[in-house]
Amino acid sequence: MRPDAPTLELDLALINPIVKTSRTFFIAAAFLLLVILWANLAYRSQLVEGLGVTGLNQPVSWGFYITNFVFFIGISHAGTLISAILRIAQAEWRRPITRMAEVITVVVLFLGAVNIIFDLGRPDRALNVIYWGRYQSPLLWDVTSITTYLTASTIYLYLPLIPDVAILRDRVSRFNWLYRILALGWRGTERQEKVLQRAIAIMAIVVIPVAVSVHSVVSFVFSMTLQPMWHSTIFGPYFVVGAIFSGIAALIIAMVVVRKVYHLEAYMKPIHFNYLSLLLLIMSLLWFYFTFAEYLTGYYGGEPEEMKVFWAKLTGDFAPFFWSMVLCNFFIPVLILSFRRTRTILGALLASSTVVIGMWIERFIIIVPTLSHPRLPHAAAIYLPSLVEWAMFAGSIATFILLYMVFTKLFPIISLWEIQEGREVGLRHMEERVRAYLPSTPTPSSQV
Amino acid sequence: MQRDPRWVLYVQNAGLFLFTVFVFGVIGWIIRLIRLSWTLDDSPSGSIAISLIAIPVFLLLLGVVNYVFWGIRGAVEKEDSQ
Amino acid sequence: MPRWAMVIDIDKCTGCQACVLACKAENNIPAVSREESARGRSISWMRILHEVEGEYPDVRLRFIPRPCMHCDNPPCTKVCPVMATYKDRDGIVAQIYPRCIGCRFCMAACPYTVKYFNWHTYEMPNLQQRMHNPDVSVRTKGVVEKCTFCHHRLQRAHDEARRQGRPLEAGSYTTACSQTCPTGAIRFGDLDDRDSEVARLAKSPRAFRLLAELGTQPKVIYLTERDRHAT
Repeated sequence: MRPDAPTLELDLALINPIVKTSRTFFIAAAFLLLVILWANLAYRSQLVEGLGVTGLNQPVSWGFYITNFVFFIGISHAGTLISAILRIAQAEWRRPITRMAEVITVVVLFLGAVNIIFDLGRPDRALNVIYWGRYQSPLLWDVTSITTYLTASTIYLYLPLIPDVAILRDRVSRFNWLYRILALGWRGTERQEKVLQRAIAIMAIVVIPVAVSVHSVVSFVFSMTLQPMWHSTIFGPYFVVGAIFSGIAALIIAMVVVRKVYHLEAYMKPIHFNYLSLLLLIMSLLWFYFTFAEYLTGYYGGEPEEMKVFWAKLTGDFAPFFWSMVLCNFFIPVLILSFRRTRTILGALLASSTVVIGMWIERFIIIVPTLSHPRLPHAAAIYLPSLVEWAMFAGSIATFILLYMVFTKLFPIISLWEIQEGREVGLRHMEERVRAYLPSTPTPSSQV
Repeated sequence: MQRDPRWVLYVQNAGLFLFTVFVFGVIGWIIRLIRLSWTLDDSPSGSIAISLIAIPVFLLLLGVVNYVFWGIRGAVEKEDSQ
Repeated sequence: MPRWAMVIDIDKCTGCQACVLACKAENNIPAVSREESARGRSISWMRILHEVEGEYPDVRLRFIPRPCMHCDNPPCTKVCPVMATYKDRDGIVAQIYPRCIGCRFCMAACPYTVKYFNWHTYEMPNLQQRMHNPDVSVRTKGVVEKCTFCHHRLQRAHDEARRQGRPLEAGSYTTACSQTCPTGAIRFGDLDDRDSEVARLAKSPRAFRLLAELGTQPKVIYLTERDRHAT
């Protein structure tokens, strides 16, 4: 892991995005800033007018903002979970993936939290949650859990970044002061390496239950109420599975884009996408199992209030969304990813794109139909998102992409030292491990 | 390899200090909410249950950050002084 | 401690909506424009639900006035992150408008859909402002509101009783809807007062509560129509 080791020359492509910026980057950034400006104006109109500028109403008082909140928090499971699990499993193929995943988590968590602020009727009183919070409310569980996760995943992003930042400190002059501060005086000594490895190992273990708690707690916002098709015990695990599912899909999309834009084909090879596609396939099957169990249970029981919502989703007003969701989350990905011939990088991109769309629809389908069908007789209510809500949605996505792009300009998007470590010691360690699994060769005297 | 200039060390220390303030701020906040729920008799059990998990986790994170900070930066200073 | 409750006799309700209007006048509820109402934004603390049962010639139409149920086990207060809605000592589920952050969790949690949101700061023409009840605050945009069992009238009754140096008398406090109902379908009183009409009617064989199976313990008790005895 010596930063000035000769093998660094092999990986100069990873520092390239930091030292050179193409015109395309600035054009893309300008476009994203325009979208963010549009969202900004939309939010101003909401601050002045009130939430009436949205399509929300009585009884559908939660819509796009809450859907986006759940969706973004769900995607945050990409990073840390994948990175942590692959590290603990010592899967060698994780090396080009971990940093990309970790950045997704940190950026998208922040966006999820911001979407909740957008949803508040009185955002100027948001601090009331700090002063007067009640832990009986699932929203407080959310606040605590997401704060913990944001802290933990930022640390988990920063720790493996230290050796790379040290390389930048020694090689790159722009922003050198930033790299010098963040590098903590890293020199790659044995003592430092031991400390870092141990700390990363601890964080990898800590981050997993924290991540699981986050999306469970987000699901509890719905399942702790008494509303039909919300009050279900499956929600905790269901949301976590859905989060990992959408997270892997988002990760694949990010990987394909970064690979193309920064010419990193040598690092992100078809085999990496193949393994991730297999994980995505497994999550798709798992998601389908949970969904099937949930709806079968509701249908078989036939409780009248639940059936109203059930039929609204399957054959009623929400049927186009429901069946698109099943198509996007199950049929298309399974069809594409089950066969070696279609499980290419393009196939992975296609499947991931439909999954990301399908999972957004899934959040929407969980939230809105239940609210549209209150238990007591009520006038028919439809929810049509307004331009303001679309603008905020677009702005959130644009902010995510822009922040991600800025990160790639400051830090290597693929972990340099982990690639080097893979080259230098990865093969040896793997061989030792496999040797340990196999039976030991018997000595000649015991053969008789 | 040259040593980092003084100001870098100060900024790093400031960063660690801010993080420590943040962690104790969060812990203090959770304790405030426990006391509030106790005074108002508003299901204090929930607050205590959450604090039993959240506070140790934050202390653990503070511990890991300190371990890394002093372990990596401290190693440099020790080697330089040898 | 008193437990203020309401008994609504469905047999007597004609669906005249006098209670709805009385509530709006008493509580400074804003008039919402036709366009906004069509979008589902009107605020109506008291609503008349109507149920149509059966087919011609055996059709039944039923009017069910629906204020806030003021549950003894309210699902809405559990989920409020800032205690902007809570159950006070009189058993009334109250709203603290200055504390509410407008997250609308209580709206999502209420199974009776009694909570309303201020989607805008509604304009009040000058004439309407002069008609405002000075005892009731006017809400800004972004907060949740609902029926309060005319809690301000309870405050007045307490103040009056204290001024006269006597305990609160039974019947000195009633809600606007109950006071206005021309047929006497809406009765209001203290459930814990064994002599009150409400306590007596609550034990009637015709008594039932909406969504009782959810365990919310609502304090609005309905009496079925007379030829549909709840036996």
